[in-house]
Amino acid sequence: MSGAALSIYVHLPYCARKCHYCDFNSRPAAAAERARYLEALKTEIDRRAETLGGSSLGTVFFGGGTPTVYEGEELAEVLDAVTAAASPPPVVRTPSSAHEAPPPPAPPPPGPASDAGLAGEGGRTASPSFVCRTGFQPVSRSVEITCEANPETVDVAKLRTMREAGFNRISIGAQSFDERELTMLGRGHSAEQTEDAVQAARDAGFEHVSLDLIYALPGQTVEGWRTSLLRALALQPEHVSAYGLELAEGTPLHARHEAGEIEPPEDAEHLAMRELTQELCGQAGLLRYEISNYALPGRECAHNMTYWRNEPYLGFGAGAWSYLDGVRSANLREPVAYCEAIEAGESPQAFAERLEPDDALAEVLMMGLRMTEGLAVEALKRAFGEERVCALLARAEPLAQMGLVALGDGRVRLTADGEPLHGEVCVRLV
Amino acid sequence: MATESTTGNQATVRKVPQQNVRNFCIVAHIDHGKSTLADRLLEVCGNVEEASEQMLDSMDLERERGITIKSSAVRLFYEADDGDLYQLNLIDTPGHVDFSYEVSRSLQACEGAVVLVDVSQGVEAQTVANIYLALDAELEIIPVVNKIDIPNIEPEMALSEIEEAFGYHPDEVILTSGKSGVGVHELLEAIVKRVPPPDEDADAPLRAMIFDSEFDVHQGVIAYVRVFEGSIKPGDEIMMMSSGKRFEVNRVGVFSPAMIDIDELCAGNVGYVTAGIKGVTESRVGDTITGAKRRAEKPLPGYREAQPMVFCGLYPVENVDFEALKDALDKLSLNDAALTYERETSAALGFGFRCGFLGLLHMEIVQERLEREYDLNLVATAPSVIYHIKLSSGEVVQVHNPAQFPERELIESIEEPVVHATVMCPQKYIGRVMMVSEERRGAYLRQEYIWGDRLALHYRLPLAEIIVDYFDALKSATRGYATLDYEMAGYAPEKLVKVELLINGDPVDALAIICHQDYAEDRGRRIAKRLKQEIPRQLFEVRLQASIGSRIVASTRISPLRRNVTEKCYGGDVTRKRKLLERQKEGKRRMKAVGNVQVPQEAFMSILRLSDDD
Repeated sequence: MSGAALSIYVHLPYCARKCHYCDFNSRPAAAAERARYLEALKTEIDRRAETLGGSSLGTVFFGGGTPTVYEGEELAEVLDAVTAAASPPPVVRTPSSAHEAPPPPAPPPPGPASDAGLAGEGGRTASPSFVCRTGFQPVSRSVEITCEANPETVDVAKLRTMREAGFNRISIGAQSFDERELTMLGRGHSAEQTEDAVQAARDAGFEHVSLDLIYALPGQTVEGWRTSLLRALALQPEHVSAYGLELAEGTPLHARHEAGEIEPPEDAEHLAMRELTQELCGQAGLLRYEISNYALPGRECAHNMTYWRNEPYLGFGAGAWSYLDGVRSANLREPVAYCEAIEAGESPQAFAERLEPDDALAEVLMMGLRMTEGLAVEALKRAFGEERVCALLARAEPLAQMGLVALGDGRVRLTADGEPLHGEVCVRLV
Repeated sequence: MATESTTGNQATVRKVPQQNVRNFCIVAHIDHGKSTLADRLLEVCGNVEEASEQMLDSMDLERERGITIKSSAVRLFYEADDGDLYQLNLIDTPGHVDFSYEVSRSLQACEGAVVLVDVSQGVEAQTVANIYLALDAELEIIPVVNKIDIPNIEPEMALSEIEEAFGYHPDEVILTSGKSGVGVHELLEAIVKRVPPPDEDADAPLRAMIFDSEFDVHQGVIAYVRVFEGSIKPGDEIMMMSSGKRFEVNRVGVFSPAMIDIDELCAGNVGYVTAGIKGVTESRVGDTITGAKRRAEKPLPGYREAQPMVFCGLYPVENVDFEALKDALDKLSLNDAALTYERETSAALGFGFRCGFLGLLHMEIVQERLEREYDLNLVATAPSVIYHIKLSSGEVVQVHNPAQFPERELIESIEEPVVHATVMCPQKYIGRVMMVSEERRGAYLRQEYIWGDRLALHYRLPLAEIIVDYFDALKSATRGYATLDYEMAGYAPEKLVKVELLINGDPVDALAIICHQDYAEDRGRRIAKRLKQEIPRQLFEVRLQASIGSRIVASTRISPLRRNVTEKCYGGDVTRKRKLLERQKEGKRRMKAVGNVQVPQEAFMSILRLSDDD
């Protein structure tokens, strides 16, 4: 992984209410459970200090649930735990010079940050730390530290606390700007509250605001989507995630669809909305860099890119996944079970899988092809060997002829036609 | 099959005089409890400590489908009420109409037949057929009403049916339950008392009939034989009377049900012979074994070569598996003399084999064994019968592949195989049976009352219709009450045409069928409609057309797949999404590429199995 910095994901599974489309590991809970969880989370982070200690910190992402059901101070405590764990005395740099400075040389490879590596490896803590891509300390602008938020759970005060604690990117779940759609989705806020939340984020000093939106909703027209999207873009977000609605099994919307009460738009209309998204975002300067993600150049979500580029990450919290040294693992999904494990001094890990080369390649492809940049053929060859990659390219050839895959300048990527068929292309490539 | 050591077991072999030997079989309609009852007999006679489920059925498939494919023979010792020790040779028979020839050979090896009737089902078409077969073989028949443990069902109904249909007084009928063991003792006594001992000449030249055979990798063929005259022992040189092929006997013995070697298998007895025979095609069911030096003048009557009736193409989904398929067929045929196969090339499917089977069940069993035991991923084309086609040149050709049907202009006339079908059902379903039969070009012959409101309807039907869905249609039209038996009844002229299916304008040979010209258009439309459901959306539009000759009779389209993408995919989704990808990949692996269109395996067969919705 080219000595890449380690990205940290922190899962906060609670929310004020469960939205009608949501199949995430999230649910409402009483204050006592939320407090208990916070303690467990900090304990887990502290315990992993030695895994973290030798690595440079890449990005931090607080996801949920709705992390902002917690107070700003509580979130700050968790972030402090992360930075403390990752932080033997930081190398101090002068911010002004570092701003222009080229990235410092990569540190010596941290060595296998083994899962079992909790037993102290004394030597490692002495190695230089916090050598981030841009050469900044973690709690600075250049290490992207995101927190997800719902409009009704934030105000300027809370956001300011967060900003001061080091969060520098806020991802707001707007979803729609149409009140009827918001009701159908089971959201707990109005369009106006979203606008207020964005303003509050700006006032609190957030220079990087992302909005989550959902389109292809039952009953939605292309024009309806245009209205919603334009209202979102009017808030001048640096980043937009626009997802076509997926009816996940077990959700109320899925059940209503099964019952024949609601019907999402046909494929053609769905694709038209998708094209409109690209067009309008483009006019606002936001370029698509992933299947559902748009950003001002340079404001792509660095944290999510680690997933798509298959770089290592470490997850904390219930159901959080990690990917370290070719091993994917996940914590216990249920928050209470997670807390119990942590409190008992046990590992909260519920699943771990070392990937075979074919599986690893499948994942690299599946994730990498989501990005407009695609995958570098040479890098693939280095990682997976000439033979596997050549076989892959041979399978890609007919797809290229169909205009779904572009092969050129040493990269494999999906074309505009190929993007909505990402799944089909992957099945044919692996 | 486990082989017990010769010396260790010979001590336990008990000799009984010839007049205390009884050779019998159990014949029954499917599911009438034959295997369970046979197991119970084994248990009572002390052959096994405790009967494990259906031990006579040795193949997994047989157990799963609850049917006996290979017959077996087991020797039982029974101490009767008269104080004498009897040797009972139980010959198990296959229970499906596809294997009626095998049944007839098994019957030939016996002097008596136990005919089972399920107390809840009564006399069924196959019961009748089996009784007639047994009577033809001049067997003593012991009628049995089985499964009397089923609560709330009195045997009177079944007893009256038996009396009405075959004239057996209820007093002659034994009531049993294979499950609880009730009546098993009475049945054994009846076998001892009613079935005559074999009347054989031990000094005449050897005549032994093969009623089954099985291939074993270590010993070659194990031939199941009934010795009628003379005797057979290791070291003897024997000869197959149909082929003149000679072999030296390695072992003879009996099944207990494990194999136990004995010194000599004498006239009147049932057992096995191994003689380094390389494949079951050299040890054909019904053939007579005689001595190579001291030959019998005539073979035992009734031998005929197994004739495949139903043909289909078997193709590997991946062309590279062709050799593996060939190996598997070679191996399977060592154990299945009725299976034929020859190389075939399809423009759509590549290299494969045209395989011949006794019937549909046989076909399904072979296919399943190839996929399960040999791990092959196959496409089977819709089954076909053999057509006799007279060309305008006067030449007559036999065609069993629709793809090779001659051009219409070259055909003078066509004949297709027909069967005589007997359908039995309660009277109230007679109208539906007639409708189902007539829709399938059946010609009504006659009907008769078997008992009470139970009728037998006789039809002449094209075999081609039987292999499509006749039985399924009968079952659903009669809520499962109809039973079917059929026998081949020669060839009959018919106005038949080839219906072809075109994918994106190209005819697909593997999707062609032969059908009656009056139904051809409708069939073409329904096939196109069905394939539209079977073939998943592709990345491009797919045009499906049906044609008769050069005339397009149906046309439809499969709109292209335009969207298949996970909208949200982050760190926690990777594993789940990859596994989903693997499943989709597996689904793709079960598709055959026809040109650039991915066609699921099932689609090829589906063109024959059209439902009313199609």
